Amino acid sequence: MGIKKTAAVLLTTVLTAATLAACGGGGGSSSNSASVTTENAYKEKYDPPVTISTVWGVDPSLKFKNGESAENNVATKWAKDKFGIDIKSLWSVTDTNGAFATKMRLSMSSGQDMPDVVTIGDTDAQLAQDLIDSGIYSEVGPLFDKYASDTWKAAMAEDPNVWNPYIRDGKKMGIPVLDYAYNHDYVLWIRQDWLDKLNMKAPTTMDELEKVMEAFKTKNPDGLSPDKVIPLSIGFKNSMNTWMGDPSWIFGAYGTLPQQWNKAADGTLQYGSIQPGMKQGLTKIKEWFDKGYIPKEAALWDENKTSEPAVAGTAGILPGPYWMSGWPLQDTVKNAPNAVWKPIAIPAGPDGKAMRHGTATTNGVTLINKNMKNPEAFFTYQNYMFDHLANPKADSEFDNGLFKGYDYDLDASGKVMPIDKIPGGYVNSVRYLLVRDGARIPNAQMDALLKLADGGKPETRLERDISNNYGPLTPEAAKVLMTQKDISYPNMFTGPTTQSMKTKMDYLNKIESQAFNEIIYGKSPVDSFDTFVQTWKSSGGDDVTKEVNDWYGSIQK
Amino acid sequence: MKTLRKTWPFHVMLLPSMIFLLLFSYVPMAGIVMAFQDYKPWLGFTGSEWVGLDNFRYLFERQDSVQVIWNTLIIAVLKLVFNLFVPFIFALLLNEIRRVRLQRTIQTMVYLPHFLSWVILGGILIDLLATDGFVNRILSTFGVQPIFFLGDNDWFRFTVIVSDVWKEFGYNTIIFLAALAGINPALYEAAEMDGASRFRQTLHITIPSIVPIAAVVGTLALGNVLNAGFDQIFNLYNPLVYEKGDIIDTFVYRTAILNGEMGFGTAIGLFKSVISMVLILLSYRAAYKWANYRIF
Amino acid sequence: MYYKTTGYRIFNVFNIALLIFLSIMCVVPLVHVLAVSFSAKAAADANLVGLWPVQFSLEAYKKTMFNPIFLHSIWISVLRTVIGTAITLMLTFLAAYPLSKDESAFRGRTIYSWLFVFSMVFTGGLVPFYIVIQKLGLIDSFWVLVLPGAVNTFLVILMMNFFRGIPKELEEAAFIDGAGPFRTLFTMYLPISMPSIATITLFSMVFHWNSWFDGLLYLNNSNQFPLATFLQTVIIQQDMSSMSSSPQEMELISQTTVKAAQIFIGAAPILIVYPFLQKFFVKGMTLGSVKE
Repeated sequence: MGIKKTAAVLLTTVLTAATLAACGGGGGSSSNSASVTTENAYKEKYDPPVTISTVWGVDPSLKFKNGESAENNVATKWAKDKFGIDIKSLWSVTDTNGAFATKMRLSMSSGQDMPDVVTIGDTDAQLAQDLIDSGIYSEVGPLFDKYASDTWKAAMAEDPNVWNPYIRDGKKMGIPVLDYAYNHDYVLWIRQDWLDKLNMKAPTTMDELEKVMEAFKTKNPDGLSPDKVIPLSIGFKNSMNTWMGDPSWIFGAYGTLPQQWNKAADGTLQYGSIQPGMKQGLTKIKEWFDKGYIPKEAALWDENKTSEPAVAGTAGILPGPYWMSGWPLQDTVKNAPNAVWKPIAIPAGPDGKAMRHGTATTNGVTLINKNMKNPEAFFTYQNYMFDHLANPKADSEFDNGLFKGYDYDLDASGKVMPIDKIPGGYVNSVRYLLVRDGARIPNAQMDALLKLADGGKPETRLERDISNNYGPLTPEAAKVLMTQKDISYPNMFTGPTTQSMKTKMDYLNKIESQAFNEIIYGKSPVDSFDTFVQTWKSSGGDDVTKEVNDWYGSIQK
Repeated sequence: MKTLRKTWPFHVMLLPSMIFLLLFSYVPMAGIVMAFQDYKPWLGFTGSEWVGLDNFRYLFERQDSVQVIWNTLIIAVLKLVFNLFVPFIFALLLNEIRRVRLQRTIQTMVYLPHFLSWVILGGILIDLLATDGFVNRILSTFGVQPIFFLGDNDWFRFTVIVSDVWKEFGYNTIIFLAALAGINPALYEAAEMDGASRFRQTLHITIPSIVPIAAVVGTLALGNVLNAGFDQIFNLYNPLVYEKGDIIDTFVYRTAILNGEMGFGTAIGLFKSVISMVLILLSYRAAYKWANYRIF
Repeated sequence: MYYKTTGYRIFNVFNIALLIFLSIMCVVPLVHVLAVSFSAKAAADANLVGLWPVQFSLEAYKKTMFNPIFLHSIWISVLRTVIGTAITLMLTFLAAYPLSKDESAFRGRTIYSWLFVFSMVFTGGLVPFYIVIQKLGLIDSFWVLVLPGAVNTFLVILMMNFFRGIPKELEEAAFIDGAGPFRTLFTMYLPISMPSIATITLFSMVFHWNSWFDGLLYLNNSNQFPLATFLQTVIIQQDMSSMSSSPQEMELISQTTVKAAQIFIGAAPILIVYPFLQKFFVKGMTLGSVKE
């Protein structure tokens, strides 16, 4: 019975393959489509349909319309029609409070079926590593080499480090989900109208920055009293290395970036928070704190909080991503009518040095189950995304957007309408796709932005999307960002949590934040930094450093 | 057998609850074995490695273990005490208001903060308690120097406890109001005849009538003696007050929950349960011994 | 009468003043939330709203009211609260009565009550619980919101202690009339326990109304979430640092005014219930029935 059935399936598969091959090219995908492999397994369309099972961690902000759900929506129907791929959802969970990771672990514990394909975001990096350890998911390196399209391979090759977190004993165990390069790198946003009224230029060094902050505070052009002005809005509640309201560049001016692993002169990795530059940086921040340049409650402020005075029109400078003119700064004018925000470069320290923390070009990983019957089907789907969605040429299926009536719509004259005019509301249907964000080519975003910044007209989908939805100053900010691309330093340790990290890192992080904040708030002298470094090393930091370098060594091979 | 013939309806009445307890409480309790395992979801209870007391050792061997456990205990015990006494006294005071509408309005108003989550209240408190915030501006009119309520180790616990009592006292008052409603008015009438002052009436009638309920609430609250309130602390704490504000639950969140270390999480849970159980047992015995009252 | 004495009058004035002051302190945060919900978005995002709306706007309420998922979640919450409270009330009422007997009248009650307390203190954690839920087929079922928490030890013991306050003579009289325990419980205990039943009802309702974790973990379809779960997915502070963020996305996540409107609308039903239940707290109610 079993054998008969298998034979029947095999026969049908072969027959369909033959039929398909006969009418090959009739599909109409003429551009640099998926590399046609010699294997019969890989197809442009599967008939009979094949099934890919998966699970969903749905973003809380993701909406569904027309009675659809994560399980069943325009994207799953499209996959079925287009590729003959049945996307079967085992379960979905709204991913807040770490619910996705919890549910994944619980379903593993209770022996439920594990998905064929699962994409796990960076927030759940530990889960991804656990799943790799579980032995349920297969090596993907050979599959990728065999089935991935040239576009995808080229995108993956832009940054060779993307595979690092998922390499086990030299084997690639997960396919990194690519993200736009420099997407979380930041610039300083400054109130240009204040600078103009004060007749000052954008600061390029720390000294100039201090003069600007002093002027913002004491001679405020909007007539705000000094105690109402926050010249530089930063916060340390969660970390000294974050995104909006980030303070890490201040340390960068003295040659180190906290809370991440940087490459030392000798080629090893060293932990940024214990480097001598930190002491100078802390001294500087303490000085600024005492002078009232940064918020009095900075230790209590998280990222969102730092944007409040900026939007209120009482902050002079806010560090943050290049796209912040689209959010949240666009609303400042409603509270302070004269406000003009401009992006400026990170100022240099006394030795002319500047550093900012960089962005990893990956934001997650896709794993493929060992028992998956048709792993090639996943590549059929994903290759198409890279070829037609990631950065499509002007005649692509996705030229205007992904799905009409969902993330774009056309008006009577066939023009794309603003997203807030879409009947029934805009939904970010890119998130319905099998892999989060569909497909992103790391450099595509910045290339598009630079073109727009140089006065280029938006032609491709990506360019139009940016110019419509990303805020008016985004291309300009991107240009500023890219003039400093050599000072962008991503965290070099991306491997699985090491043994000592598991037991020691929380304590080390705790004493670190404690030491730094106490120095800034004047509760401990600046020299207590040296004691902190000693404690850090002896409380397990040295072990962690050794393990990190062992991992780094193993990746270099 | 004779007694069973008489008491069978009692067993029947308890049966539905017992089925629920068995299914949703006692069967899952088997999972306590995880406390002694390096639990891996894909290996399950049977396949995960047994590590003896390693999970517990990790809790006690950290350099800040004593500090964290001590913080938890202090914050939790003070909350327990104040969340018992403040509503108790508030109920007595409210009981003195004779205008029913005013009484009910006050009752409803104080019950409101219970319904706002700490995420929201945390944001509001950070503003209210800022060094140039509302509270400090009021204090400064009395000549008090600004107090850094949420960023000063001397003030953080105070702030946490006061804000928790403020959020919950109205809600916790309800139990006592129900108990007050059950007091026999004839007792007051008799006292009135004897010419007892209101203070004496309160002392000799009202308070003794609601003390048993207070004892019950207090004893059952011991079940939370090592829960200092994760949501609240997590939303309010910051690096400046780790020394006095880091508690077991925030520590477990950072080390176990975020990393999916389920064995460790279970071990901490078990540790907390054992301590709670011991305290409940002691309190139960004490009430029985000194007041001849079985709390449950 | 005592309340006519000068001393008491002075006390009364201070007492009223104190309690009104405390009540105002308790309303402040909710008033702030309300003010934010009626403000313009830019002002709210800038944290410029105090206790009064800035640039009055109904935008947030329009958005909330036209959100079918939000409205449906209120319905689910009402359903779980009503059904869940009914079940809890029944179980609590039934269990508390036998437990309120002395060991001499009901041998084994002490064992039962320790079984309750033990179940409150010790838990096996999430993993075995999830497995049980899954084996019972409750995943993605409405009943998962209602059944697992149906027995609440705290409420049972509270109810039991209220029952103990009822004079023994009453029950003995009923027994002499030939009533069995069930009849005694429902015809005699029920009517005179209204204040305590109102308390238990309120606690149980509030518990159901505020529970969000079960919905998040055991329901697959977010369109079926109860309100508390829905709100949790909306108001939680997200860690955006590791997201592939964009301005559109941040805009969707940070709808300060809409969140405030949803929080307010979400709390309103349970707030309205309380004054209604209050009439059961009337003094002497228990006794009034007893005297008959």
